[in-house]
Amino acid sequence: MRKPAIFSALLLVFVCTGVSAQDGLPREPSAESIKIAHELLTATHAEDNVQIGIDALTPALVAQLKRDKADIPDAVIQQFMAIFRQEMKDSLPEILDAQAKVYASHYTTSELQSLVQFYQSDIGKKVITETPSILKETLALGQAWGRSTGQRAAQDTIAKLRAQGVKI
Amino acid sequence: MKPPFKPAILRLVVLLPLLMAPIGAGAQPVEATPSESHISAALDLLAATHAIDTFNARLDALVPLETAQIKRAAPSLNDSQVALIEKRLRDSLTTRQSELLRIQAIEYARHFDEKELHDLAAFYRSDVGQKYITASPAIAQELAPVLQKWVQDVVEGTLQDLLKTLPNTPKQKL
Repeated sequence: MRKPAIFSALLLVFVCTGVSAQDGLPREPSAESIKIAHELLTATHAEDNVQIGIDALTPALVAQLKRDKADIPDAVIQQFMAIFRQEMKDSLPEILDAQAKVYASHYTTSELQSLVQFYQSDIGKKVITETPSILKETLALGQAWGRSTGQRAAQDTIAKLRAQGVKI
Repeated sequence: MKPPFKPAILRLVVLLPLLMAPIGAGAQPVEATPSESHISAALDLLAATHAIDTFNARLDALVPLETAQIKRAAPSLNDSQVALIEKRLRDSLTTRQSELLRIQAIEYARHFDEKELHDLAAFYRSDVGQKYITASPAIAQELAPVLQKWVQDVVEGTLQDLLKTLPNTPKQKL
């Protein structure tokens, strides 16, 4: 089975929740750091974000299955998706543990505490809860801007190259 | 006549919004048309979050993809011509970054009041806020294979288990 490019969609969910990295920190974080990293994940609604990522992944996964094996009956695909969602849900703690370890290996305990404090504040909560909406809105506007700017630049360049005798 | 490599450009265009998503922000209408001072506060937040750096980094990541696509779509072009097209595209997008930032700033201003924007900028300018901004790419890179393997394992395991239980369906690995 090909590795779906849609993994990147799920990844983006985590990126948007974002926490970061710094050299010089122990790669094996302390239990205390991991515990606070879990608090950070809770404060940033990481579990919800994973669920959103899974939901976003689902249609593309179904499409990929149908492309790869057109003879799979729809009923089987539906059954697959139900089990898939449940399996993903059941294994969430495992992936959140992995995430917490990564965060804890990149932040000091004090930094993690500061981040938790921020995301538990009113403005931090607002950042977290409203992020999906603003991303959705800027996505559409960014597409329009990029399309317009990119096409104009491409057309200008093509015209100039053609004027120079380049066949394009 | 449409440029032969238009699909590549459009693909780039589709990815461009990713340039605009360095930080989270919210969606609660504050005012329909934000004032200039309100937009300035949002632009200051974008400066604090290094939005331009994020834009440039993502543009850099897209350039090799664009090059390959242009070469495939227009194989008669030589390397210097492809490089010229790319440079013009990049220059055009880069010189108009301020438009993109303003679009983004207006969205932030529509969802956060001025005080909130100032508070957010202050947080992202703090030591931990700066670390959050500058180090996020590394943590995302580290998480990528973990997440990919997780999803892949669940997909493949689920599918194989399911196929084994069903008669008259393909049992081979997809």
